[in-house]
Amino acid sequence: MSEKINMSTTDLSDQALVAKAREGDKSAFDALVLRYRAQAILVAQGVLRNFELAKDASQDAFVKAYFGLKHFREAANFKTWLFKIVLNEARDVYRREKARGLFKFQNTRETDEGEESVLEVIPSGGASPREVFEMQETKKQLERAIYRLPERERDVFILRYLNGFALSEAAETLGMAVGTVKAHLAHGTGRLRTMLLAPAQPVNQAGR
Amino acid sequence: MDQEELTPELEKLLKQVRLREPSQELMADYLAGVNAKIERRMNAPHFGFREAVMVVGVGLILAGLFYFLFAPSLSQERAPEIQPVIARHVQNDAEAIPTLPAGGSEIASLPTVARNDERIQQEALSLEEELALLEAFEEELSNQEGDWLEDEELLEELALLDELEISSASGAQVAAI
Repeated sequence: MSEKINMSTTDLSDQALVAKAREGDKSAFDALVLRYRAQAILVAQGVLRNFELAKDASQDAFVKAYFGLKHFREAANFKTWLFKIVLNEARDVYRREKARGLFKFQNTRETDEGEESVLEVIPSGGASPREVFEMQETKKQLERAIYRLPERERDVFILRYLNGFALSEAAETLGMAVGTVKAHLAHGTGRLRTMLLAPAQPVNQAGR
Repeated sequence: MDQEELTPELEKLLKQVRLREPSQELMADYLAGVNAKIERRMNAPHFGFREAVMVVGVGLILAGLFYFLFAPSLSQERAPEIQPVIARHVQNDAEAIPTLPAGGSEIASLPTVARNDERIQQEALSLEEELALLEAFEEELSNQEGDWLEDEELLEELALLDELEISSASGAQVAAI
């Protein structure tokens, strides 16, 4: 079923759409879903590394957001509020699947090259095959290193550098102070630098 | 990106990669899935705090009704109170001595027992009442100071009273003749 986009709502701000949704305008909430669905899946995927689980978790998060709109303070930031719900939902799914013993850190989507990854190389025109190959290898190393980080440092890193969140947005989404976010970023990038630049050295296996 | 947090190498690396976005085919039914989940949750039976309070309240009301309706009948099924029997028993003690049956003091048996035997025959006590009476008698017997059966003074008094009664009864018969 194709999802129609109501042209009258696409230009409205989050605050206006939330106000209309609280009054019972379902199309306003649909517009919010369409606006943030891709990023919601990416945020969930950063935790779960599984597209189907990430899709399910992000949809459940939107459902919780729908029923929680009456408690949402209009002055608050809808985006950070929503992604806080998405993160919590993804973590719940992770714990549940881990308890079942069925969850494996595998990606279900395959790239054109037959590899599985949540990251992709941004196409750049004019790159030689060797350069493309090196970039793919570097991308794999980066992804392995990111998922070796401690949970908090990883969450901060993914939100900040892979989802494009501002420091304040990342802090609000994760429920931390901005200073704490900066500290996690500093520690995380330090570990990544160590892992990427010296892969032969003993690596801190503090990740999941 | 904040250049103070990243080294040049890391910054360059991060500029070359991004999170893989889901394809349009995979996202085609995303909104429909969200709406279906919303619909399912709205139609699902909800048992929240309000419902829990209602269940507890109804339970308390039913428990209270049960107590007030059935508790009195349950208490009436208990054994009859011992006190009236004991009171009757004690009263028998006070009346037993002047009214010993003629012809037999029956010292070996206490006067209250003879009195009570008559009462028991006259009143046709139920089994529970008889048991209660016997228990009360045994209790009172054990509470008495000394042993009546071995109290010689008491036995002498009872014998004297028997003689007086007998003599008064025979005197009344003679007067009648």
